[in-house]
Amino acid sequence: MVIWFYLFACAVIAGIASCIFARQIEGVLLGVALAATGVAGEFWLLNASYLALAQLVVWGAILLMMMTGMTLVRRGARVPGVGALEWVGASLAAIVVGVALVAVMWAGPWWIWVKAPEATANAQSIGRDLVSARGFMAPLLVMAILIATSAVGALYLVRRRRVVEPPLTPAKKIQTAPSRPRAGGVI
Amino acid sequence: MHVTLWHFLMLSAVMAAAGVATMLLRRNPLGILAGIELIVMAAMLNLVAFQAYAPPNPAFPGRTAPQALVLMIMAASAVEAGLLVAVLVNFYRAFGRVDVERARN
Repeated sequence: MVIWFYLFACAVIAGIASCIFARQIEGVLLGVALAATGVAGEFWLLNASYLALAQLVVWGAILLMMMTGMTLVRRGARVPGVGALEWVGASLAAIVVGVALVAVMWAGPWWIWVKAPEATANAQSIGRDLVSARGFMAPLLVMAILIATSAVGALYLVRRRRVVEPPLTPAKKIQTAPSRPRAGGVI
Repeated sequence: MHVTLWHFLMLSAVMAAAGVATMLLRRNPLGILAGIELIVMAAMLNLVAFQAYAPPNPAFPGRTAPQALVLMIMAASAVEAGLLVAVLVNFYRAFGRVDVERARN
C-alpha cells in the first residue's frame, strides 16, 4: 500500500508542477487532470473506489469542457461546419470511451489474476462496488442530472445569439489644442 | 511502514498550497480555475482520509456521510467549471480576449 500511495502522490506532484510551471494553458489543464487521477488513486487506497470512478468521470468531463471552451475561444481553431451538437456528441462519445477504458484497466487485474495482489487486496473492482453498493446509486444519479443540467445551460449560454459589443480598442488619442507660438517667434 | 492519516494530510496540504500558488501566478482564467480545482481536490482528499481513519462509532456504523459530501462537492465543481467556461466564451466574444487584467477595465 505504501508503494501505491507514493505512486499516486508522485502523479499528484507532477500534475501540480505542470500546473505551476507550464507555459501553455494546455499544460495546466493536463496537469490538473494528472493531479485528479492521482487523487482518484488515493480515494481507491482509502476504500472509496466508487469515488475514484466518479472523480475520473467528472474530471474527464471537466477537461473536455475546458478543452472545448478553449477551442471555441481561439480564432480559427473551430472546424467550419461543425455545430455545437456535434461538439456535445463528440464529448459524450469521448467520455463513454474513456469510462470503458478505465473500467477495463481497473477490472483487468481481477480478470487476469484469480487472487488479487497483496497491495490491492482491500480494494474490489469498481464495477463490483457499484453493483453491490446500491445505496450510492442515488447520489450518482443526482450528480449525473446536475452535470447534464449544467451542460445544457452552458450550451445555451454559448449558443445564445445576442448583440455583441465591439471589441475593446486602444483608447483614442486625446486631441489637444495646438500649442500657440510664442509672441516673439522662434528663438 | 504503513500509510497513516499524516501522509494524506501532508499530500492535501501540498495540493492546497499549490492551488493557491497557481491562482496567484496565472493570468488566464482557466489557469485560475485549475488552481481552484486543486484546492477543492485537497479538501475532498482530507474528508475521505478523515472518514477512513476515524475510529468506529456504533451510532453511525456506515460512516459514509463524508463520502456522500465529497460526491456532492465533485458535482458542484463540475457545474462551476462548465458555467465558468461558458462565461469565458461569452467574454471572449464580447471583448476579443480572455485576460483577468483586462477584464478589470
